[in-house]
Amino acid sequence: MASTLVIPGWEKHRPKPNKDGSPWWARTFRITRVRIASQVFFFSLFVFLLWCTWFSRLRGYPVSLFLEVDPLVGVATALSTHTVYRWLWRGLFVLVPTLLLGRAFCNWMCPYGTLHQFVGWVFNIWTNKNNIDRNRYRPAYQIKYLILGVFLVMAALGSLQIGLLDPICLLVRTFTTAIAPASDLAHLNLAAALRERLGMDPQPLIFLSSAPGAPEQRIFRGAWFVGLLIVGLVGMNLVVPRFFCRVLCPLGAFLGVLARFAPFRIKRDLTKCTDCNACLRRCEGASDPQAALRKSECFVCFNCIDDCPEDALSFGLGPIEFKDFIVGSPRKGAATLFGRPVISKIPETVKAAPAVPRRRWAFAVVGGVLAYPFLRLSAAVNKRGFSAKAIRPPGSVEESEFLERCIKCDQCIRVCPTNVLQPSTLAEGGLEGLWTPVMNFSVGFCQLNCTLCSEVCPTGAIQKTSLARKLGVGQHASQGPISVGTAFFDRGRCLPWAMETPCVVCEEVCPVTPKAIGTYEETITRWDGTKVTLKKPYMRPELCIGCGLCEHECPVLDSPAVYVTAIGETRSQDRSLLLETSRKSKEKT
Amino acid sequence: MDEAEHARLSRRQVLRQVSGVAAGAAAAGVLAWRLHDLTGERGKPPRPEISLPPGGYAVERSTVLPALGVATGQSVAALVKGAVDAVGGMGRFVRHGDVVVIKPNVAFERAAALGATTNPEVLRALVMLVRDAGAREVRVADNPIESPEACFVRSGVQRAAVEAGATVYLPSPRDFRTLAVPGATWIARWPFFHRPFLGATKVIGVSPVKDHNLCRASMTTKNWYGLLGGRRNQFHQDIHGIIADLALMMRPTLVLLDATRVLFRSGPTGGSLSDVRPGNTVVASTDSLAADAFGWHELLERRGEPLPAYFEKSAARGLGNPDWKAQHVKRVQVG
Amino acid sequence: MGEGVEERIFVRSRKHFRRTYSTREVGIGALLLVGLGLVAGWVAWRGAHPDPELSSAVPLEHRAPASVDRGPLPADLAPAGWREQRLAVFDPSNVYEKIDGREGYYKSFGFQRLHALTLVAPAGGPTVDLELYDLGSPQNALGAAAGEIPASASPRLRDGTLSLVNRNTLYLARGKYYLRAIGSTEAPAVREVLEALGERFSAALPGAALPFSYDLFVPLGVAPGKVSYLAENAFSFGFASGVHLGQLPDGDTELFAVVAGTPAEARALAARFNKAFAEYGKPAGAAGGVSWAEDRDLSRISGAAAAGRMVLGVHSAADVQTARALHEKLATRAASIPDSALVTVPAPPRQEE
Repeated sequence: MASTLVIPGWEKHRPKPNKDGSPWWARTFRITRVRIASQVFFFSLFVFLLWCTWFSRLRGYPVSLFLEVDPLVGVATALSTHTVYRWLWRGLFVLVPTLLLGRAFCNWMCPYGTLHQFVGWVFNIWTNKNNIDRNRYRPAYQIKYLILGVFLVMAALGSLQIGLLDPICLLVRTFTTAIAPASDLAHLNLAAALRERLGMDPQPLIFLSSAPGAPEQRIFRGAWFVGLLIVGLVGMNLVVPRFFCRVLCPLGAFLGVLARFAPFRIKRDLTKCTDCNACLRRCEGASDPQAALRKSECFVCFNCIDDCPEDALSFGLGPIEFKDFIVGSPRKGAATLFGRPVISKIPETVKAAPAVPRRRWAFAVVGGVLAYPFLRLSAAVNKRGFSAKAIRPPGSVEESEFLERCIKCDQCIRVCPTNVLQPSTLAEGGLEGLWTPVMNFSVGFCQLNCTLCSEVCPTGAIQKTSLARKLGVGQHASQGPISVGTAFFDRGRCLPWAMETPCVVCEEVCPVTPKAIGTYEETITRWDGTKVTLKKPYMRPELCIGCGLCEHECPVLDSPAVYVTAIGETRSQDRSLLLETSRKSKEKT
Repeated sequence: MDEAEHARLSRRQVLRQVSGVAAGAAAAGVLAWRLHDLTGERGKPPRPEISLPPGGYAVERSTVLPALGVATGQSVAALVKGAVDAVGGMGRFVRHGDVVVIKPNVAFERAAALGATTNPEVLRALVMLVRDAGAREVRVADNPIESPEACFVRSGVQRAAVEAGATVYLPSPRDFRTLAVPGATWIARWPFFHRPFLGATKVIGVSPVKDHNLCRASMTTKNWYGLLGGRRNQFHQDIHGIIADLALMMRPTLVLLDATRVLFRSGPTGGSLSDVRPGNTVVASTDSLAADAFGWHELLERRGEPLPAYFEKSAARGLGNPDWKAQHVKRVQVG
Repeated sequence: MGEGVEERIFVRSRKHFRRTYSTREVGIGALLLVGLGLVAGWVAWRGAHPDPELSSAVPLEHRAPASVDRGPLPADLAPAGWREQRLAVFDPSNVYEKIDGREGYYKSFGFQRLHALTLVAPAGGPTVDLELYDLGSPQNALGAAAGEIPASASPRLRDGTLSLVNRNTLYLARGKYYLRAIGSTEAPAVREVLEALGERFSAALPGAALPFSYDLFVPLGVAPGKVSYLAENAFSFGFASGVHLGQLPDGDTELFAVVAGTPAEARALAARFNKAFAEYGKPAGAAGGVSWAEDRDLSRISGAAAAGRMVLGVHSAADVQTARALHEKLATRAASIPDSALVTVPAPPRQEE
């Protein structure tokens, strides 16, 4: 083969075959290397798609791909809404291979798993012996199944909370609120330094910016907490390897429950295994390959195969247990299997189901059943006690349905060009609404001709909305435009009303036609004797769409004289203001 | 037990597992297909709509019987019986085995003497009259503005209804369904207190005669406001249009105008005995607009003023005839 | 784990203990890598084929119906080789879709209908955007045109058509119609097209009698192109509606006339004008039956008086004598205008802007 290619010096530097006689490339391109390539590929794809979630880069890229193939998102929303929305059937692409191969997703595809593994590997200061100890299975690893149980029961009752801990949602959210703004800041400063100090064109650095063209540095409420969380969770890898994946991950738990049916698994040959435990040295899932392999914990990382000096481990169709076929006592070292001596003293090779006692599953279910009313009845997300400042993006479904669908991935917050969408805090939305998108008009405003948030929402909490529907034109003219709230004037703070000073920025910037802000003209004599004609603004609630441009531009920055609240939104009748809007909002259902 | 046996058993297990996986994958695929929802429309929570029977609960119109029955006197029971008898007697309206819903006005937490709610004695007499006519079940229902239990108790309606043998229906969150009212301007679809109406065959409204700050009078037509839920506080933005819609929504069997007391000013809540004067009258009719017009002219004594706008809107829809003077009115004097 | 280990930031060992390798493993690995390549390819393909709805333009595009009434637009407006595109009609309820922000100007001139059309040169050449406004009366059309024509330009008034081709724009007012055609460049070819359009429309649009203001002002020295009309807010006075203006060649002085319902209303209106002028300065004495006022910033003289149903006035004259002389000439000329020519166009509905 290689002789057809004549490269000078090739014969001298050509890699030697391996000690067992196999060609050099069988070692260079062994499966663990391919796995690493796959991890790098998917992590890069993940970051690339996040990078693309910006209007100037969006084009046709499937930016919500990872959220869509996440089977927990599909299953949990199917439980809460009884439908499979739009692209969520793509979860089958991960679900079916898991049924065949086990939790390969966790170590081949999951970007969060890759991050944990990388940090754990790069900063690993432990000796081999300590590594082996740290990778043994611990009962604490049951916790993720209990978390999964609570979340799925809550989803079935109508409250979708998987987004709190689902790894893809978590990572997208972390990128959006903490990492991307940090990268933007770095870009801003580097570009300025390049331009001013070195006189160079900073344009090549633009790839560092997650929001090119944004007029202001993007900021997100609660970013400190999200940043702390990611540092904490990733940092834990230095103490417990793959801490999140083993202890907390509900997606891992879900795949682990499915993995028990998988025909393919890591097999241990009892006639070769010397119980040296070297396979535990880099075992990612803590799945005990040296004893009874826990299928529901195994990440199919193949590190154990790479580390077994006796070639006792392989991956393939799992045979039934050997225990009944062993003659003699393995523990005493005097046993044979099909005539060959059994070296290993541990005869069990596989354990299919997750090690969660039935009682604990039951408690998890009870926890979920209790959590639902405890969270839902905390006023913040109800018809009557809700926070009027919790203004949802245009195209959102009404609140109780929203909480059945929102996975708190914050994709909408990522793509919003004006930075007006912010993750909700505990005060605004309670625990149920934590990290769901709400508008903050002191940061930005809702751009009139933009429907980007509705495009990228993977679960339909914000329904895909056409521009014609949002503006209420064309075939949607009878329904009128989508309104997310209504603006109100605080005349005591308004410059023309209370301070004899001309202004009306609000009226000028109101983007709808006819404008939702009108003015009364009045000529007065000021305190200093000068005459001034004031235009005093007033609200036309039937025209206001709650875009918040007025609040954003109001010069009374501390507490704007015109402010928007969630009343008058068209998505539900609960918070409507005008009889007219009630009639129209009923029309669309 | 040898290797071949082990291999065979293993193969069998693998086959089982693989076919299980295939079945599971297929089931998941089929489920995903059946539940697929491209636009999010299917996933919206179902909003079942209900409708009231076509033609409402009205009985056949009569060309011979009077349109309005007006009874004046002191004894409340006699007043109610006298008024109903004047339009044909309860037997014309209630048959044996009927389930009758009586809708009084219990909107506010006021004692009966303040005239803001239906007189409990009128209700008591009415319930007994309905039961005597052979009704299987009498239900008294209203969705008050203030706290339901407090309103029913303080107004005396709870006690009167229960003692007379009716069942009181207090509203609770699950008792409301979206009602479709075709042709309505504002309430084409609106939450409606439907639990008392399940299986109901006749509906009787009994409302007091009240001045009203916004729409100038609140009588039998506006009484149906108390059957709606949702954001009723938006109705004030077009109150006359709403009342015309209420007339469209509910075609009752019979309406009673309780003018034993008249709240002639500071309505609809009143609050002072000096806002009330004795009326000593009860009016029965199958035509809400005629009854209300009579109330406007004779009981609130506003002969000189034009009728409130809702009369015209409702009459334009063919829901009644406000010109009571041109119709057959039977007046009776009772003890 | 000794202390020395903590000194190192990265600690990685490359060793693994496996002794045998498998070519089959590599084969499966290669297949998996091919799978990854397919995924990458699919993502790239999707990136290149965006959902057309996402990059939707103004919904306007979706709305244009297939067959649109051309109205007063002549047929075959496109010059040789050019083609017509995007014919659309707008009425007061939806004109903002076409000229969002500016529609208040046309609405103040009694806007009825807009026919819009684009002419496109072959092979990606220049374009000309045509807008034909039906403003209901010649007064409005001429007033709207005069308001948009740059102050330094001198439009031509001929055969009842006011027109001007200035740089890349054609302004034309005839009868109740106001036409504006804007070319995408100032090239001579585009100018030629504009001038040809001007000829076509002059011939095709129905003419109407000019408002009386031309008869009134032009003999007094006002260029025909400098007669204008303001439907509302003349001189920034809220009450000054329906004001005809004529600018004298000196560039500052203006003659103006307003038609009132009755002589009494005219007198009241004249008094209001004088009071308003005085608020911006100080009285400059009475002369020739007019109480003149001097503007405090510009020191120019303004004033008005009633003459029958009309209010006649002079604005921004150099001094009282000039003002008085102009006013006398104006009054004399006005006397010969027949009463039937004094038409008042109804004020447009008060629109908040």
